[in-house]
Amino acid sequence: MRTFLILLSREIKAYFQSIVAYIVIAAVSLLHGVIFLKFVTALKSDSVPMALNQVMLLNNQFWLVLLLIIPLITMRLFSEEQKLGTLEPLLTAPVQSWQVIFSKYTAALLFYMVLYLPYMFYMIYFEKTVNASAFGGAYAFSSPSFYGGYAMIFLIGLFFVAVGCLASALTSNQIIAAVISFTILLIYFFLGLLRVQFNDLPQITIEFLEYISPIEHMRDWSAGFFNTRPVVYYVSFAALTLSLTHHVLDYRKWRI
Amino acid sequence: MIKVDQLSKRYSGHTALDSVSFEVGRGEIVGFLGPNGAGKTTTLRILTNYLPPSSGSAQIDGLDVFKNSLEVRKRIGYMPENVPLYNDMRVKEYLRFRGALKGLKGKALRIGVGEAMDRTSLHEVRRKMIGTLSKGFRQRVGLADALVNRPPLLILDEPTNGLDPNQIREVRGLIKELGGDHTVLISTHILPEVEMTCGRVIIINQGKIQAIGEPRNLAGQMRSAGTARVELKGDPNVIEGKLGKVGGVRRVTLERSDADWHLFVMKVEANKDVREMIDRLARKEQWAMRELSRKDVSLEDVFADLTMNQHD
Repeated sequence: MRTFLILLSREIKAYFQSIVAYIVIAAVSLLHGVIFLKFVTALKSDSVPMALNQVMLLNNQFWLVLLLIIPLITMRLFSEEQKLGTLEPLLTAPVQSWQVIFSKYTAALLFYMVLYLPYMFYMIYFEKTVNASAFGGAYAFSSPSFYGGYAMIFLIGLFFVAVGCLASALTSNQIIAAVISFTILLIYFFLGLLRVQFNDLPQITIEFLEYISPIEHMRDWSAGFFNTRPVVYYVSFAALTLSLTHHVLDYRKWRI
Repeated sequence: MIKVDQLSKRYSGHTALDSVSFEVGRGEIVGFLGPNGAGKTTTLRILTNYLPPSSGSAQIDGLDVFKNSLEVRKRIGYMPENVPLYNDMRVKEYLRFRGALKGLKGKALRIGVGEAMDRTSLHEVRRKMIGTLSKGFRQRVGLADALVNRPPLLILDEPTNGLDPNQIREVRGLIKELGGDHTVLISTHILPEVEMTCGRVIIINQGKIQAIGEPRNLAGQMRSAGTARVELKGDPNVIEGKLGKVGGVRRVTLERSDADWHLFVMKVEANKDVREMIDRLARKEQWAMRELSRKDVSLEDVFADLTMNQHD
């Protein structure tokens, strides 16, 4: 545990001591701010039977941002160490591979959650300053939607950040790592949208696509409907992906 | 301290190590010598648990490298080739991080980092970013990292690679100094380094151990352990034939001819001085002589002989 914490603090420092981290935070809050502004403006003319938070969380632009930031924050994790060769001193120190993987994963996940803090701040700001009745009378903010939404961002992050880790462990080139994870996540995300594109799909396919679609999970949770299915789903996929990462990292130890 | 038994490493289609066995005793400084690609780094990586062997076993301090991997790694200070370091950390911060990873805490960590920086004279750059350091300083940071938890065994992969002559001298001095309380295994392809710092040398080529011994004795063990040169005036074919019959001479080659003068180089058996006999022969045959000398085999010759596959 001590070793894990030492590694974790090094990884967290590596994130927050670099200027790139703050540029990413600024860029993401700006993008979220633009989306926020767009929907607040739209609320003036239309009334929506959903919380503002929920409208935003189900919007494609919000997801595009999410799909973009995962590769950005995870591409460095293992690729850089492989490129610099620092993986060798790291793994020949008395540490275990899984400690290294978990420390990197946890740090990336933490940074990912920090990236969504400005977004949450916008929601709180909206709630505190806006007179809801001025926006078509519908409620604009609700606690279940707020907490459920953030919890689902976290759950999806569990899996997506793990995918980023795996991609980064596969190559010593950061750009290739980013492209790999972005491609996997994009395909995964669009599987969930197929249903909208093709309406003559068999029922079983539709059910399957709904079952794996992150946007459907978000629809439930941001409406305050906290079913446990996505929890099991994302936790087990994160565990599977991390164990794959472990195998990739220990590939050199395979006896061929 | 180190016991390696029948260690082999095969990558798909080629053998990097072929049944390598050797032992290193406590407090020894041993040089691991071989041309590039001989299997030095592979052996060191197996010892430090970075790579598994295909077959065979390795023990450090009586512990199997793979069964007790964490315990073994605590006992080793390893400096990989080219000294990979985190460029975004400061020197002291890095050493504290490495010390903590190796199990030091509190006062022990402070003392360990302080001593490692003392030994490698890093105090002046302790606040600098590692990325801004010169090659010499990086090398020292790598050494300090290897030393930080005072491990009984130091494994240094090409510790003087890429340094300038002054820095090389410094690092060699440091390694000699460390020999007192550490066992040191260094790999290198630079011969004088081994002659100057190591008590024993292991010569490896194409994954096989070619020779083990003290640098001085290794030369003596060679089959053709020395050369003699003689420059004579006369018919070169006759001279070559007669020189070849002198006891102890293994091979005669005509090195160059200068009008009537011919310079011959002879490979001579170990511990044999053939000069007197050659002198007598020249007098008897009435050849004029203007040079007669003997050269002892240096480690360099041993190395070249063992690794270039130019046996007679």
